[in-house]
Amino acid sequence: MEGDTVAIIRPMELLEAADGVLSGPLIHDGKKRKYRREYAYRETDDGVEVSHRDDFDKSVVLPEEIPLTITDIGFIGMYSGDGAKGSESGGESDVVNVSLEFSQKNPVLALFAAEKVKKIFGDVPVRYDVAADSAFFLDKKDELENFREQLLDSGVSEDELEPDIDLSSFDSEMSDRDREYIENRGRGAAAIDTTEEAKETLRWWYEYKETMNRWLVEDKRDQLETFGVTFGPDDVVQSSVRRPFVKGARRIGQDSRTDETKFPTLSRYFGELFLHIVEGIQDSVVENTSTVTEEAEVWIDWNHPPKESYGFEIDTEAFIEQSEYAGYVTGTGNERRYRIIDRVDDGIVLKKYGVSDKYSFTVPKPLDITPEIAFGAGLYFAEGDSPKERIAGSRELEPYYDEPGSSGNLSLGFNSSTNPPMHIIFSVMEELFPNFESEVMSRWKIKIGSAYEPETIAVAEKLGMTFLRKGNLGQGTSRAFALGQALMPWALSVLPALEPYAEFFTHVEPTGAGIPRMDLSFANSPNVYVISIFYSLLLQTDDLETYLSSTAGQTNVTEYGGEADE
Amino acid sequence: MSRAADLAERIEGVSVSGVDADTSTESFLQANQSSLAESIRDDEIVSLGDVFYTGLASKLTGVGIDSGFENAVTNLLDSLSTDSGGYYEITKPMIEQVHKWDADETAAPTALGTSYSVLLAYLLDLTYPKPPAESQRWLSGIQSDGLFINEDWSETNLDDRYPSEYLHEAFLAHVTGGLLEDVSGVSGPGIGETASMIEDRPLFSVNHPSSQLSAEYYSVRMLEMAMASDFSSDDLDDFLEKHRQEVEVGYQEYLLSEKSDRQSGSSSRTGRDSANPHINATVQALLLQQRYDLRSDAELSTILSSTLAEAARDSGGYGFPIQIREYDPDYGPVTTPRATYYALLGQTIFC
Repeated sequence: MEGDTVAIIRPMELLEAADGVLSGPLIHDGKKRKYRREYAYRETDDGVEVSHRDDFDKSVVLPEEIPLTITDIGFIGMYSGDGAKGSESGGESDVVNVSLEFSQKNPVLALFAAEKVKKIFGDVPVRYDVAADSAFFLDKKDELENFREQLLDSGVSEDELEPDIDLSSFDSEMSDRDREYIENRGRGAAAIDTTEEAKETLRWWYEYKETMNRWLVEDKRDQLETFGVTFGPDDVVQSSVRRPFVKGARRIGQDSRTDETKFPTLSRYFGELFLHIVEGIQDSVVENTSTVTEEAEVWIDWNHPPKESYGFEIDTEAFIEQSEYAGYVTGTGNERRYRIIDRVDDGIVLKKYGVSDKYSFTVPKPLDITPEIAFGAGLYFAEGDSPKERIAGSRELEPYYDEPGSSGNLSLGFNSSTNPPMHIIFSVMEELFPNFESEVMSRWKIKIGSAYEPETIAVAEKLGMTFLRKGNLGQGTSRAFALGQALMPWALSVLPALEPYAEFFTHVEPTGAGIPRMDLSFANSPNVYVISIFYSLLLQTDDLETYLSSTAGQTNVTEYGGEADE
Repeated sequence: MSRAADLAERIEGVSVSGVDADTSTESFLQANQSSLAESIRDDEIVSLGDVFYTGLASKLTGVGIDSGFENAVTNLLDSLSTDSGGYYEITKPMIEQVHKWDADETAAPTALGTSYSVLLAYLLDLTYPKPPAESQRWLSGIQSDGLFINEDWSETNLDDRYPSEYLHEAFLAHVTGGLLEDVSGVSGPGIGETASMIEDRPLFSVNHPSSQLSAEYYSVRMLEMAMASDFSSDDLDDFLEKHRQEVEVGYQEYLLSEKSDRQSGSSSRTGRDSANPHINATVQALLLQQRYDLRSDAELSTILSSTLAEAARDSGGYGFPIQIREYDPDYGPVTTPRATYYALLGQTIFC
């Protein structure tokens, strides 16, 4: 299965048709922007050499044809969720600079992404960046001191760990940013009461900055090596530890770390090229088109339209009963599997052990694998609600804990502020569940970050109502029912994919940050089924092979470009 | 004085005997009466604010009240009433329809629900579902530190509430308390306690993440009710000027410069955000400027005329769109009964 091609990308056709100028709209988080990059290209014996028109030194050789497998499609789905979306280039222009970067803390998914980028662009160096708020270390001072001793014992010199300013003359050495930090008491952090405390905290940060950075680098390297990353000579791990409370931490010990996977030789040069590929694949999945064209020239050629089976199906009954990834562990530690309680036309009805039949759900038997499911699996791994450490904890068996009624439950949900991802997730869920609407779809709501409260209150004022909340910190389900109803048409216009499910809207909900976006919740009961299918499809293809059968005879598929034998 | 004119005076502190509306605005109000009546009959969630201001504007303009609307409101108030004298904001079937919650467990009356219900009953001359004296006692009983928060319905800490929320609720509670006192003879909640709470707030401060113009309007109105309007009109003038649109059309409800991201504690990037004018905010600002002699009548008239020229919609209603970043769809309805009420009121007073 993994070796089978589902689509072909032809870089030369794309670049020739576009005359080297790749551009397109970039709509993300309510921002309408564009990307545009001019590339030089030429055919070589190895493929297509591509470089910036204004920087010929940096080039990459792409194969004449890039075959994409089902897991490659999954990676592109994941990248459409977690990949860099571009940064403002400054000035009045709406054209953004797009880097080829991937933001993902989970080491399994980061490794998966790195492997996939290397498949397309060759064996390029990888840089793993960690950025952390040093407030995380403020309750670990003893551990930090011990780590510093270990570093010194291991041969690191005192000089290497020295602060980069002279702390004996701290007052005169401080930068403007330091003074601003002290004046603002670390952005008004609750843990810093006075400017004197802010100054002491800043001194501490300087004193231990290098030690903290080395801690983070070692932690990241250990984590990656545990999950099978072997570092090439040009691969690096680097960290940046920020002043306390300036990178999102609001309390001592809070972890607000972000992890990014970057490709330094590609990043500044080929972000737009890769984004063009991702957008092309995503659009064709949404539109279910078997080709993607540029000036009438086909440059992505699907074997079959992406919503259709590409020639393999999963025996869901065998998968549910035998796959080690389709089991789960209850809160009391018992290993369980779904029970089949009924058989219906082309499907089996499942339920979890010990729960009422009303929580049963139907899955197809067999389940046709489509590229869209693979794309949706990657997208879900990037943007789904299920905790990343639970859905892709390791490449070894990692049972899914399922503790009824507790926070240990593996939640199923998805949120988005743009339509294509929402469209794909609904479409995938409809493929996974023939009775999706009645058995799995639970509800959707509008989540509103604090920066968009003023607009929301302005709507409430128009209605003569209030944006009343429930929880003691203003969290949770709001009590502004009429306001919710008034905002629902906006949500349906922004995300037309929600239209068929309009009746599942419940409420508006304030949340920490971010623009208003729509948040889906699905029934919990099918959580293990969904995650295990996604996990096996992208990360455990060998295991999944056991439950696969070819439908080549029915679908006329053999391999890309060929006609099936009759 | 008509009941509608009486309520407009109690709410805004100005005297109007009626307002003029053209035929398209009359049609807008009639259409709202019909659609709200239908929604109420179907147990759909409705804004009590929409219901009240549709009734108020219809009465003020002389459009009149359709019997279907009146019957629906009568039934709605019955469903909202509780034995305590307080009223819910939405009916139990509405709660259950959306959340599948056990409404008997979760529903609780609020000051906003009680105020709108009492004001509607008075406006439409309906029989109060619960004796006015009981509603008055419920309002007085819920008052604490000057505010009217029912923690059974919303337990949010005061510091985490939006000022426009609790000030709007307190303001309507005092308007309603004054009416109920006249109707029942039972004294209403103490305005002095609320005035003290307001004076402890930084009045007219823009240094607040949601420096809403409406919140300060409610504050001033309640200080006026308490006859404690001892504040600097210069500060009021500065505050209103900051909310003035650069394009000389109306006033904004909120300031982009004060938007913040509470999670990071940092100022928000607002380059792609917008703060359009707001009809309510505009008329509230003009009313305050007139009352405290901050602008000439001619200036007020010019501002309102240009604002209404931009805010008039084909539907006959008035309003400005609210946008989230660069999304094309409008965030919430453009026209509402309340925005239209303010447009008509402003037109009568200033033009």
